[in-house]
Amino acid sequence: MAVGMSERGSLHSGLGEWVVQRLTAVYMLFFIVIALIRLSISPVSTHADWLLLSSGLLFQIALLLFIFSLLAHAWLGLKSVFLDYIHPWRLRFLLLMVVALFVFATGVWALLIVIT
Amino acid sequence: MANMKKAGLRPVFLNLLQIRLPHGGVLSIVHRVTGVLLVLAIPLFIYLLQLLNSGTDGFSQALALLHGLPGKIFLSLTVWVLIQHSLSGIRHLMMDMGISYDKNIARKTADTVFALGLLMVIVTGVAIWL
Repeated sequence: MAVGMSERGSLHSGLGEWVVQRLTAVYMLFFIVIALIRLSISPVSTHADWLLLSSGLLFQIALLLFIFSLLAHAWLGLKSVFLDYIHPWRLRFLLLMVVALFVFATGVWALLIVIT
Repeated sequence: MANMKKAGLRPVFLNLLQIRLPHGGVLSIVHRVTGVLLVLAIPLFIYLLQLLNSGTDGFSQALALLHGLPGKIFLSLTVWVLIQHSLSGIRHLMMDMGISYDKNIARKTADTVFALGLLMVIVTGVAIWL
């Protein structure tokens, strides 16, 4: 079989990214709408309100999923912007590494905040 | 032309001030710019989450930040950029599903996104500032 005919090879990775970019977008929209509805039904104005909301397991999972979706979405988005506009490959690689570090660090930070 | 010889085959015309993009093209650029801007807001929101989650003092500190002038400016800018990005994103999702491939409809949906964005900016602006 010729490469690229029936086996999609490494070029196929772009399709996966395309799907992830859209799935994360849809989840984030869904989360924001639900969060806005919840906050307008019972607003969080005191610390007790916040504790009640933020101690729920469902909320914690949904929030972490939101933050991880956000970071994945940001990583893929910045990657396509860099691929289009930053042509010197050393600079592009450096910038992508900075973004990767940022995404990883922010993800760990958020995880620590939510689970502790 | 020298430019043509350098590029090999075709003439290259990249004068950004003279290229006139279709409305959908402008929207696509706006989607990218707002996307990059939103990345910059991520650490500030995680910091806000940390404050909210760090006891009574932290919680009131976070509320004070959000109600202060810099907080309000930051919040409204982020909300506006997020609205614009979400609307153009929804349009992208619609196009993925095959809606508005047609040139004229694509132009209409692009204009709708700009108009809707402006409207929602006014509504959220009133909600945040008044």
